[in-house]
Amino acid sequence: MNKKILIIEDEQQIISVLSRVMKKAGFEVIAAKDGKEGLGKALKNNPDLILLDIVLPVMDGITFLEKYHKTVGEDKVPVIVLSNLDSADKIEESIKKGASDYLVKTNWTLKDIVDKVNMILKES
Amino acid sequence: MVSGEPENNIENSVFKLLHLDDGPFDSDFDAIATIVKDITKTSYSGISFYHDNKVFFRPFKGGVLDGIPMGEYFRSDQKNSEIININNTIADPNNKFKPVNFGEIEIRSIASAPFFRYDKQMLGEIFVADKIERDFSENDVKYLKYFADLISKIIVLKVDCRLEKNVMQDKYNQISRQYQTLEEEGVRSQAMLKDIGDALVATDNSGNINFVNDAALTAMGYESMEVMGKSFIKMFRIFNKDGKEVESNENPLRNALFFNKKVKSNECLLLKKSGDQFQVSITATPVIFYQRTIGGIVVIRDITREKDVDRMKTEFISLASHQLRTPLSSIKWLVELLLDDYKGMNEEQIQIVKNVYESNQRMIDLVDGLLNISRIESGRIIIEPKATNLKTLVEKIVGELTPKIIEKELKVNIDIANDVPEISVDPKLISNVYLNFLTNSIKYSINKGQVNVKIYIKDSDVISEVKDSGLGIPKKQQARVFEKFFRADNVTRVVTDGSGLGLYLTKLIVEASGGKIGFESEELKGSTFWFSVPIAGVLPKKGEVSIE
Repeated sequence: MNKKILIIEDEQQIISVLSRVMKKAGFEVIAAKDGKEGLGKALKNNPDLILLDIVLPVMDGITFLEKYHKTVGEDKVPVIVLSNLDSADKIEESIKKGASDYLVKTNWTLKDIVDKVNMILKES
Repeated sequence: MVSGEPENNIENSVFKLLHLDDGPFDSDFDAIATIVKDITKTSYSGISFYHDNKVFFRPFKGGVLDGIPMGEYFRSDQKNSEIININNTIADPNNKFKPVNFGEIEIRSIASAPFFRYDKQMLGEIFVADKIERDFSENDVKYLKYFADLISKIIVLKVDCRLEKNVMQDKYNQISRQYQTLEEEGVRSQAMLKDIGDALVATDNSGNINFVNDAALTAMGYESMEVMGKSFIKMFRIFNKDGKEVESNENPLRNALFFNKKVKSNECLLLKKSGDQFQVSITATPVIFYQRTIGGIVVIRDITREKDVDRMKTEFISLASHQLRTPLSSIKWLVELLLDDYKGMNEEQIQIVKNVYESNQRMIDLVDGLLNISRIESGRIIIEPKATNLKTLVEKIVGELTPKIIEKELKVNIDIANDVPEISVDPKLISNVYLNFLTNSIKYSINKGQVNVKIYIKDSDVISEVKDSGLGIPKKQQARVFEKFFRADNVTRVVTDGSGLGLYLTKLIVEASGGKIGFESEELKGSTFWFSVPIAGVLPKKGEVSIE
């Protein structure tokens, strides 16, 4: 069975690009365009890994992390934050709220992101 | 005793007082002369005193004898201070004393005792005299001596005290004037302090408020009466940024008074009367007067607005960088997709797409650079020093740059002295410095050139040098090399990419780490860029962001 990846991202283009490479790498992909939708799909579809943006409409990434981990508990499903925000307090807050990693989009190539996802899934 | 005055000045003053009409001695001398005349039952008595080789008399002031030359006086020699006892002036066996004529009166018997000022100077004598011959008894002489002594004492009392009094009066006047000047200055200072913008409170050396200006009262919401005389620490309660009240041993005023030095609390909160808090920066200074601390001055600056502006700047920068990065990351990944699968593109198209990718990457680097610079400039960079092995660090960076080194067929040599220890630096920040120097050296080297890295100890610093044999920097532009966005002309033409941010950021990092940075360069020969870090290491700094 293919592993399932949930992508929570408000930019359609990014969803397309990420979906494409993740599918090519052999994953099943689900997408959501805001935190609320993301939370619903995360709870309903039980993904194996979540790629999460921070700046999202309706419910932002930090709030998603809080609510998701309150429901599911930490250390169950790895959540990788993928964001263009890079302030130390956002990073600290994300990790505190249970994110496994924090990647700044402009610093990562698609290939490296796929490698990272594979590595984290292998570890868990 | 008035000291330091020339003797004849005193003598003059004494004489003036003795001879004064309605002077301080009138009643005394008159009384004494009368008493002594009665006791010794003689016809005439008087007090004479000498001045300027003349003799003056009391009573008989202004009389015909007053001011006669010493030579015509019965005691013709002022230096002779004997008691005189002559019962018959004509038959004087010693012929020491001349026959005396007091005006028309011929004196036959005379007795006199001299009086002195502090046993030093004979001022005059008290005498009794008769027209007839007569003996003066031992008692008579005793009385004369007693009254002469008394006169000495009276003179000392009245003269010296008077002189002393004059000196005191002068001193008193001088002090009065000084005091008035001080009072005026005090009033002026108070007027100035009342009106200045910063809140200012002055206390005595126990920390009780003895002055508070309008700005302080307004800021806190107090009336003057509510705080004057009260303890500063109780009325101006200080809290840390995290909301806890500051302990007594952290209170700036208490420490300023205790340790006798200026104490600053850069960011804390003050509790207003209303219960609200506001952000301030507090400076407490002891007031020292002749090596004693007599009080303290506390200046309070409301930094609410500054903090607001800071916060707005930070938010703006965060927002701006996020907004700028969003399209850049899209382009990056979209182009990656293209490059990943370029069936159907010709050579030229592939090259164009590669160029687009590179340009986009430059923009990403530019945004990162600007963001880092703005963070260092606003002091918000975290510095986290750890024991760092510089050799490992440099080798890693050279490793990352290997593709470019191979491309240009450069030879890279790393020479690190054996005695260079692990030093406490922030490896992320210092990596940035080496990366920048090496990237520049590689970028501006011509093919088959040489890049040397040398690290050694000099005095109390660790010096790192990166030397290349590249394009160099023209002399005329060397002064501007560390400027933001500066790129020298000779390279802009040859090497098109380069934002001009690298060295500016590098300089900020080195200086924030307590080091120095510099270079030597000659056009077409190459450049050597160096930086130093103290062996003792870099101090940690709490900040808000780290450099990527």
